[in-house]
Amino acid sequence: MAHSVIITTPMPTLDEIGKELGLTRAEQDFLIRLVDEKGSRRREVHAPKSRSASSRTTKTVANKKAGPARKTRNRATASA
Amino acid sequence: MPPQALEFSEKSVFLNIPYDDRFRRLYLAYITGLIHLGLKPRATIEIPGGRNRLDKILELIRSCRYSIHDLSRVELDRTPPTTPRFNMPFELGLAVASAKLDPTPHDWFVFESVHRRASKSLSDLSGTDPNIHHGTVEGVMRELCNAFVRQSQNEQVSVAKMLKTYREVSRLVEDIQRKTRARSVFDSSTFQQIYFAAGRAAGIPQTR
Repeated sequence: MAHSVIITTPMPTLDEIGKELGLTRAEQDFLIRLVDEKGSRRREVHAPKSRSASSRTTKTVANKKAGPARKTRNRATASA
Repeated sequence: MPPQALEFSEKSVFLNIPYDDRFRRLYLAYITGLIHLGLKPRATIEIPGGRNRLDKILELIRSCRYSIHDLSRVELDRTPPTTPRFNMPFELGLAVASAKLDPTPHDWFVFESVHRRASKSLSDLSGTDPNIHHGTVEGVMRELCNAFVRQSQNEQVSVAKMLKTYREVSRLVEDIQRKTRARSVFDSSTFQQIYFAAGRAAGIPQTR
């Protein structure tokens, strides 16, 4: 079995990491914004679409109701 | 005036891996995995080319408490004349010598993708069990968690959390590359910015 070591050093903060890397405040802010924006955009995309799901149900019901009428219209278009 | 020596760091890990596009996924896996463990990856891509490169590599290894040597890329490359890549085993040799001879502590780890291959390609390592990652992102993270254990129970990390961060970071790489105007993700400034972004994605607090 491969060996392992125990890490005792404290977890660094993001400020400490940025400082150690020599990143400017502007570079750090850009990266923070980028991570947060992409993360929130992704959360939006994957959020449950309750509203659109209900509108889809409404549409289905409406289509069922409008079924014969559309047929008539189609027939009319065909004859025209 | 002699150049200032790099300061020894208890949380630095010298990352000895191939820097090419075929290794990009595992490169990101190492960075994101290490940040979850509170460790700082250091790599030769931070060292500019030119004179005294070897001295600088040795200095970088000696400044790190740990090193990881990924020997999974042992095959011949396609560019003529076809040659195996000797950089990784060579730097492993430097780290082993440093661990034996230097007064500062240094633990080194060999990572591989195939069982028992390292004992064939580098039989001097017999008696050392490599960490086998099977060439997968998840495998790299699992083996990082096997090699490095955080002392505090409430700081224990999981592969699942690392994978989540990895997926977030993967989506940011192109934007970071555009910002740094780097041709490759293996550029020094891109490497540093990916590391910082991975810290944010991992949920590391900004201050104490």
